[in-house]
Amino acid sequence: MMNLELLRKLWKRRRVDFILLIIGVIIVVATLLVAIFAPWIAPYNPYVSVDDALLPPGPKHPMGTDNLGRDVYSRAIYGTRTVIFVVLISTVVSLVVGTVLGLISGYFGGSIDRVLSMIMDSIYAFPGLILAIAVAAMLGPGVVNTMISISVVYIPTYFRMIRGQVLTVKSQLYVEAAVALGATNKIIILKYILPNVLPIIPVVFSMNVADAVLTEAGLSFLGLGVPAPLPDWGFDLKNGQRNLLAGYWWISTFPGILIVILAIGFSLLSEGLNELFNPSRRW
Amino acid sequence: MVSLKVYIITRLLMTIPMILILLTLVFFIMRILPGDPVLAIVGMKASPEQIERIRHELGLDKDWLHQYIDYITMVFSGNLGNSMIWGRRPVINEIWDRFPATLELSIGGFIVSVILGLLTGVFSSIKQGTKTDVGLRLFSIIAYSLFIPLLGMIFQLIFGVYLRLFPVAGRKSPLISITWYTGLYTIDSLLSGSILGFFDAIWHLILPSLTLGIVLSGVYTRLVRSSMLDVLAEDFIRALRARGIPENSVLFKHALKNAFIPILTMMGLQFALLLAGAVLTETTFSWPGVGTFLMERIEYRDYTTVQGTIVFYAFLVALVSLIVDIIYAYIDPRIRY
Amino acid sequence: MPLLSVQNLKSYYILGDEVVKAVDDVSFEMEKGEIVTFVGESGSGKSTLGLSIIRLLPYPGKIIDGKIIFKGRDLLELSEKEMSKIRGKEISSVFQDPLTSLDPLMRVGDQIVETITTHFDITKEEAKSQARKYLELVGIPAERYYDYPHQFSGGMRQRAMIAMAIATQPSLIIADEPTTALDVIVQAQIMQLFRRLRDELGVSIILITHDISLAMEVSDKIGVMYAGHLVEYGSTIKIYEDPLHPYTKGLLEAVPNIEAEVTEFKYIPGNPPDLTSPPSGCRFHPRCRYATEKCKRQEPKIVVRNGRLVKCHLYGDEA
Repeated sequence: MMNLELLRKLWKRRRVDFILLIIGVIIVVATLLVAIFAPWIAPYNPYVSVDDALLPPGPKHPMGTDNLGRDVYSRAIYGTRTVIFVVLISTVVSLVVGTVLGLISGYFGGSIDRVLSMIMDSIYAFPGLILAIAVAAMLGPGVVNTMISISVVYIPTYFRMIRGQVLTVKSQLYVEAAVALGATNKIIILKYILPNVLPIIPVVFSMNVADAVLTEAGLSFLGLGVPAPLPDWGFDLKNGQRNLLAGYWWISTFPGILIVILAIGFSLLSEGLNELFNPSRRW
Repeated sequence: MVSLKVYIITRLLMTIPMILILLTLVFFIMRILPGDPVLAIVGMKASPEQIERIRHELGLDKDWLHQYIDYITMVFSGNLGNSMIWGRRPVINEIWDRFPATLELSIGGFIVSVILGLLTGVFSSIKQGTKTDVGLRLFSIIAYSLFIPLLGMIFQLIFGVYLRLFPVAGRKSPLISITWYTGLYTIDSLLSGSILGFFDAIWHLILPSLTLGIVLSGVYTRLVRSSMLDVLAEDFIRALRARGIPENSVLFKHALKNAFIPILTMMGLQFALLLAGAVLTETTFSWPGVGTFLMERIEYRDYTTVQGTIVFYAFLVALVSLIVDIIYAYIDPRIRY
Repeated sequence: MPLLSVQNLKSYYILGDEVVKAVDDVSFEMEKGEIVTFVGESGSGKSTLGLSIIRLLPYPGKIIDGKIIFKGRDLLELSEKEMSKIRGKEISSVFQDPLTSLDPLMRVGDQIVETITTHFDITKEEAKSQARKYLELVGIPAERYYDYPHQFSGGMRQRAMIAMAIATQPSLIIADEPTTALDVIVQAQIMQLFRRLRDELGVSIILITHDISLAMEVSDKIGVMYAGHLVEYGSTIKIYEDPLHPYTKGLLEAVPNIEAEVTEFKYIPGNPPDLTSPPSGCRFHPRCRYATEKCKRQEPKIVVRNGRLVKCHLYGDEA
């Protein structure tokens, strides 16, 4: 599927898109690496006070300290763990659930399909963040609850995508032929539908993760995300808000910028993958 | 091809299932998920009788089916329940008090995003393949990835604190008084003859609208560009140029009008984004709208209000979706089934 | 002076490192009141040729070199503004798929009016009545003026396009596969229309098609395109009686004769070449039954043979 030929073509024809893809990959990989090696990279314990509160960025604390005297830089580094963990698991859950439901709905059709589609379309039309807020508000605080809130929002995305593909493939003549030759449902799904569906998944997934990063940050910012001492960029952004206008800008700004960079990274990854797998017919 | 009237009626009927589904979804989230609202309100110290009384008041002692039917009939008769705290006011009234604030902010953000999105999208599509195009595309990706609270806070710091050009919170300055006609300060100030009030309202609207608008425009730029490129690649554009129609006409009279249909549908779908973005914008700028209201009531565990507000959002979404579809059918004669 | 003289035209599509030489050094002349048809397979460059003349190559196409002399002026020297005055007025175009050639949101009649008012300084009412007149001329009832494109049948749409093309009284019409998407009866009607335009109004027409029998039927001169080269050009009758280029021969032989007894279909073996790396020497040599070593190494020059052009080593190399 991913062969070097596609990469070479991208490099030759659309150099800029190639570069953007690489930038996206770098951002994502760097974040993953920081998340994995956080304990070795972070200079301080992010959970405890290590110095005076509200110190501006300086040699000992490159991003300053927050209102509780914690090192912002260390919290930022450990924050990668929170965001990667929460966001990736949530979106993978959405992917799996949405895909399975989409497959069933598209393949078997009938009233199941009609009902499921209407439900999914309605959820999809509803503002994602507000839906997450509603679910999180009812479930209460907690890492798992946050993950549930986020995955609920994105299930329809995958449902619609997979269902659409299933319907397209199902109507192809070669599938009809296969059925006539006695292929079982399982074979059809695995051999015909899945391969057609796979190339779009990475594109949609990375775009989804980009969005989920912002949703997770939004939830945490509003106080409905992961619970208190856990280092979370959205939470820290909110935490810094009360001191912001007094001039203590570093507590909010650094986590905020990291949120943006990570979202940009996944977006670039998504757009780049899209150009790679489905090059624009517009030259 | 069906007449517009018939289309509107059919479309209206189709809205009902959508609303029912959304209402059921909200019901599911609010009632069925774990978490006992009553205990949360009264705390652990209440006596069993007190708990029972409140439970009965809220109708939570009936079985699910009855609760559901009550809920649906209530909503469709325009009643969103009463708040569980303070004066027990009807939820719908409380929402209605704050809705104009959200509306004003949303319109402001919408205008900014549309102008910015259209300009960058069209420009980007015309200059396809050039550095300008790449730059604008990059701008749109960055814009959309800008976390609203961050952008808002940066604006507050720079324009509010350091440069002291704009206010950082609220809808109006304390000394200004405006009579309430619509709840929209911009209009009400003009209606009460206060030009100062009008400019004050606009002044307060600028930073929040810019914040919301810039982030939303990121989505629009891509849609507009994509839509324009699709249209510009179509044969009739080439045929128009082959007939010697001047380029301005080709772009704005023909291409944009055709591109506008998918753009409009997309904008309708993005209304949900607008609502979500408004919540974040409101909390960042202490803007007294439905978003801050929702968050406030969540904190107070005022579950009936929270439920009512979510239902309100559902209706809003369904309504806008309906309007967009109708406009769409009006513009494009091919679509009416 | 010929109406149109194309000299050494080169139009390439350039994307990054890849270059498609769609039209590679093509030259021909055309007189007033002639129907000239360019035939060739897909990818032969015939459409690019047509688009080059009106300078509407899609991105990433570019006219690299050459001259296009129309009524004594080199079109490649004109500014975009001057060129847009010629498009639609002096040189009109009709394209393949009429459904997608009309703005779907505008009434058909209004689109004709738009073309007329762009080029002529007359009132809208005047333009409207002219539009109706031209609709009638191509066989469309005048009351269909108020219809939208999707309400027309394919044949009617194409005729509406032709009405638009002639409404400005052009000297030259370029028609790119105008009937490919239509059935044979409509095709015959449209060809009849073209003949009338030539005979009654003195309009010259460049027709572009892959259908050689259509070309034979309707044109005065034929140009055969292969892989970006013009391999043969001359009067239809002479080409029919005595095709010079092996490719032309192959094309003519491939047309089944309805009267003869046919036991098998003749076709030209092989496929059109990849224009990013065309064959060396003569581009046709891999599929040519007369190919020699020279054909592999050297690109043939254009040879003139009693009023005809041919690009093939079989006919010597004198220009």
